[in-house]
Amino acid sequence: MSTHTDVWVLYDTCKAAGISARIAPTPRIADAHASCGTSLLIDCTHRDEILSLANAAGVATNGVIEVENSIDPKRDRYC
Amino acid sequence: MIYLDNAATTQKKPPEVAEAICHALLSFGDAGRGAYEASLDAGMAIHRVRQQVANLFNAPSPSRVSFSYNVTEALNIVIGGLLGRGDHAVTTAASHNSVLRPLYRKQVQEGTGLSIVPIADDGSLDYDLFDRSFTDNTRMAVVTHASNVTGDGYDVARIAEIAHAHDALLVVDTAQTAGAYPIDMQADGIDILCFTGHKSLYGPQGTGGLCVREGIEIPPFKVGGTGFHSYDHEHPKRMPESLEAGTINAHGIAGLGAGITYVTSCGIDALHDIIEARTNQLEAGLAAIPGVRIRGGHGGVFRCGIVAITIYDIDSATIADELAQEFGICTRAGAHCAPLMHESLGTVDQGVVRFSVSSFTAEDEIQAAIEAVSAIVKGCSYGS
Repeated sequence: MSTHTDVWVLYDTCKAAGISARIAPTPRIADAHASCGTSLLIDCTHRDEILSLANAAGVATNGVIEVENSIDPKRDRYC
Repeated sequence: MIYLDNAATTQKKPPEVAEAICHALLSFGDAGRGAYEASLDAGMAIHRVRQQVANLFNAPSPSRVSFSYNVTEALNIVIGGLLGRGDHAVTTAASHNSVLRPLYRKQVQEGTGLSIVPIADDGSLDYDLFDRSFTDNTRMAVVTHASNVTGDGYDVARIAEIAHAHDALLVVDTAQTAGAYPIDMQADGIDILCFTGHKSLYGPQGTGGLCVREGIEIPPFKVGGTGFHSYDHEHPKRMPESLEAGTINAHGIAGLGAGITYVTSCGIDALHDIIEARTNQLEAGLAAIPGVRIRGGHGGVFRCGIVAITIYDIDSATIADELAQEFGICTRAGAHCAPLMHESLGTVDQGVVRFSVSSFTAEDEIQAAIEAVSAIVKGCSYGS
């Protein structure tokens, strides 16, 4: 994500749309320049829908990458 | 103690504010520095308060709300970031030094033009004169919503129309009105709203911020760690984090959130009614005392909870000290960091004694203050 606020805005947007998501450290493989930034983990099946929601919400993303087995809604205390 | 210096800071806060700060102190990590619970708790709190601020002022979105140390820092961010060589700015004599000094500095360091519209001795602003103060290169008007000396409130919607007709931005200092008077950033045409948290929003000191209309990009005022894009040499340019750097005051912002919750649950109109009733009670009681002269307060389109007085030609510091030492009443004497307003009122030498109420001020406290001033007047040589 471009900023921490973008993460929270998209997190709220996903929640409102009934899509599970979890905030996590940005994987290093995503963009080394994101460094210790935060990212949003979502199920890959929601990819297009979430990008559309992000665009509608004015959220700036730095990119989307696929990682294996990282999404676990049980870990998200805000879900 | 009877606290009547709420225009400086509200001393009595809703208990929820202290509870929120204590909870934050005992649980928060550093926001945006991790995805573990303590960090997320802090990040979530900050984001929720951004939403509260955006809703309170009808700002475009939480992403257009940046936090600062106080309203002075917010005004420095705006004036320092947007005004430059060749630009011109308009303000009024009602402005606090938080507006005047950044503008003066721009004048000296960058040759920025500046017009200061006078205020009449009743506290009123001549809007036609304000209109005529704009030039072809006026970049912004920076105005106070209400005078911190007299409480006179100005018509920001009308000021916005004037500023926009000259293609200038309107920046509003809401130090005295945020939480005490309804403010609708979009309906009023405010381009940038600067606020403080520790007055009528009942948050702790060290909180404040600015709300910025879409399409206005302010360069970072301070730069440093943000928790993202760490390898970039430049500070991120995207709001709200573009105007913040380093660890944010999450503990204070949590308290500010509780203060805003209090204000919105009571209703700003209801709080304003209480403040107005106490202000009217205080003014009526003080005005009836021989030798007391009310300064301003009826020149605006509304009034915030301030009554400014002089007593004969007695130094305002003497009166304020007497009120504090003999009666336990807290007021503020002197110039109130608003030198031009005192020039307008003709009180540069004497200063004024400023009484300022909050929604927590009780009727019997007002009565005690009136009786104290009456006793001081009777005890001085003028009253005998």
